[in-house]
Amino acid sequence: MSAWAGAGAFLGVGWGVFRDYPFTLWSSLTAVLVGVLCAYLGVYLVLRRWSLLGDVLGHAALPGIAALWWGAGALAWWWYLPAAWVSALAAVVVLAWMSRRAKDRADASMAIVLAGSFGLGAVLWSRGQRAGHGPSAVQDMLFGNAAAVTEAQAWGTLGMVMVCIAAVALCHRPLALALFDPSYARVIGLPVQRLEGLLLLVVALAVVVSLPMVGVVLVAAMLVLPAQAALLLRWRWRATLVASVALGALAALAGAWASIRWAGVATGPAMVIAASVLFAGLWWWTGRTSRGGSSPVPVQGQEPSHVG
Amino acid sequence: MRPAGQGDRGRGSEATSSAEGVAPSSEGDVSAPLLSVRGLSVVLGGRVVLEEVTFQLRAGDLMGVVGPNGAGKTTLLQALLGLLDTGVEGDVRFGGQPFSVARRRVAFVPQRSAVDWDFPVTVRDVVLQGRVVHRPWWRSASREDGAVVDQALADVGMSSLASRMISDLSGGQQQRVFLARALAQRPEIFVLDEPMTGVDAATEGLVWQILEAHRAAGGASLVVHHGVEAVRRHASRVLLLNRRVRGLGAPRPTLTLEALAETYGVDWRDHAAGTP
Repeated sequence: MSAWAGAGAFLGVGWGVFRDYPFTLWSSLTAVLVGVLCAYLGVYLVLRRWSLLGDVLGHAALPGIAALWWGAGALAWWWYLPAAWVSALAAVVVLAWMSRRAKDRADASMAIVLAGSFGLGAVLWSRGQRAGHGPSAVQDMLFGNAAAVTEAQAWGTLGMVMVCIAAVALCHRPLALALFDPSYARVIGLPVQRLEGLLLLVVALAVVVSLPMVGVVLVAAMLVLPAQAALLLRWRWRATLVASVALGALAALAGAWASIRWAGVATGPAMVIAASVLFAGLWWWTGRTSRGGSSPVPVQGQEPSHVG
Repeated sequence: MRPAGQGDRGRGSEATSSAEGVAPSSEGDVSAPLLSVRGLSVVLGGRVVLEEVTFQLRAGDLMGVVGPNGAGKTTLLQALLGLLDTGVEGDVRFGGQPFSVARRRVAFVPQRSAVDWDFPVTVRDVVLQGRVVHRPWWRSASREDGAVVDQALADVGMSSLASRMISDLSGGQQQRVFLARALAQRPEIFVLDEPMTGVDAATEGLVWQILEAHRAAGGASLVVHHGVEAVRRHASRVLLLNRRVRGLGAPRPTLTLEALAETYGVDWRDHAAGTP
């Protein structure tokens, strides 16, 4: 009953947003696209145990954006995408180089690169402000701004989302095997490192595409929250992907509408709050129906294992 | 007590030469061994983990690799299967071919702990992975692949659990899934890394039973296992390993107290309770 009431209220807000601000069709579409893309890739990212990497990529995009802004002044939004992508990937290269020497402390390396690149980005940012560059699309990239999304941006996002999802979906079979059992995958001859590299490139692209909507600080949450929530359901891979995508789209739409409807609500944080609420709801629901409990299945004529 | 690595070097090389002395010298021999390892040395992080390891695996061999922790057993498997990028020297041939050409004929069963058992896949999905090596990566599984997988599941007694999520399985069941995946590959050689760790007695018996059937059918297996007694009972040959080959041959003459004492660096003759 409460679920129907919630859905009704949600659609009511949406209807109000569309009626009062007709131009928000494009930002709603872009929000859904971003939510879908992040949620889809997030399943792979979370299963690879790279959840923190999304955070690194997001924060590491800032130096590229800020440097371009400082150097060239305010430009159209799409100028910043290659700068952000290169900047994020540069951080990954540094990370890979660091992890070669400190293999067992990958999390520390991630924390260092994340904080370091964000610090660098913040300095470049303030230099840009000092240089007197006026407000621009760049400022929206910190926390995201759904209201600033244009029609061209929506179409551009659609194209990028399709490229990203197609690249990963095409490689799903070998990629999933490489993530599940890397040593077996290498033994049968799969290019595990190249597959992981592909995932990394695509996730970096997804982060960059999502920045105008979610912002550098919180983009990782849209990668991790819907995926982790969907994995709570303990469904098969394809069903998990569908669930994650649905949750991501819902959270993104809710966040976009909330930020348009109520002044002073930034889009990225609103999306993340919506995703968190969905995650909490699923956490409670899966715990209540005890789907989360894993009891070994007995086989006839077999004793339970001694360990594990 | 003698420290490991300082025992008389004679015995290891003696066993090696007596067991392997008749090895064919020319490649591509009709009776070429399924696996031939010659002078394999591995250096990891500046440490010599394996030194001049030489042995052969022939059709009908079920070879147990025995040695203490840190002896280089897992490293040996990694080196054989091309999992080490650097620091490997020596010659490894599978039926006269390098591993990169022969990988289809070799089924690897990793340690159970090597994977995340909370992955959102079913038992059957995992066993289907065993067929990936037989088709181009973009092609989906054929009906024949499905039939092979069903047979493999039946062989390990997991048919009724085929559509279960792997996160629902016990340790023994997980090991059966891994074994079924290897069976589905229809290999010449099984390479197993500690397959009995944390599994129930029934599963352990099943693993040995399948490997013995494979050996009877003319295949070969290489099993890293810490249980000396089980290896003595089930294996047809034993490789005693601690950095170097400390013994090689049939289980009973190879697994002597002296050889074990040298390999493990412990003299069991001083510890009646510890007699293997």
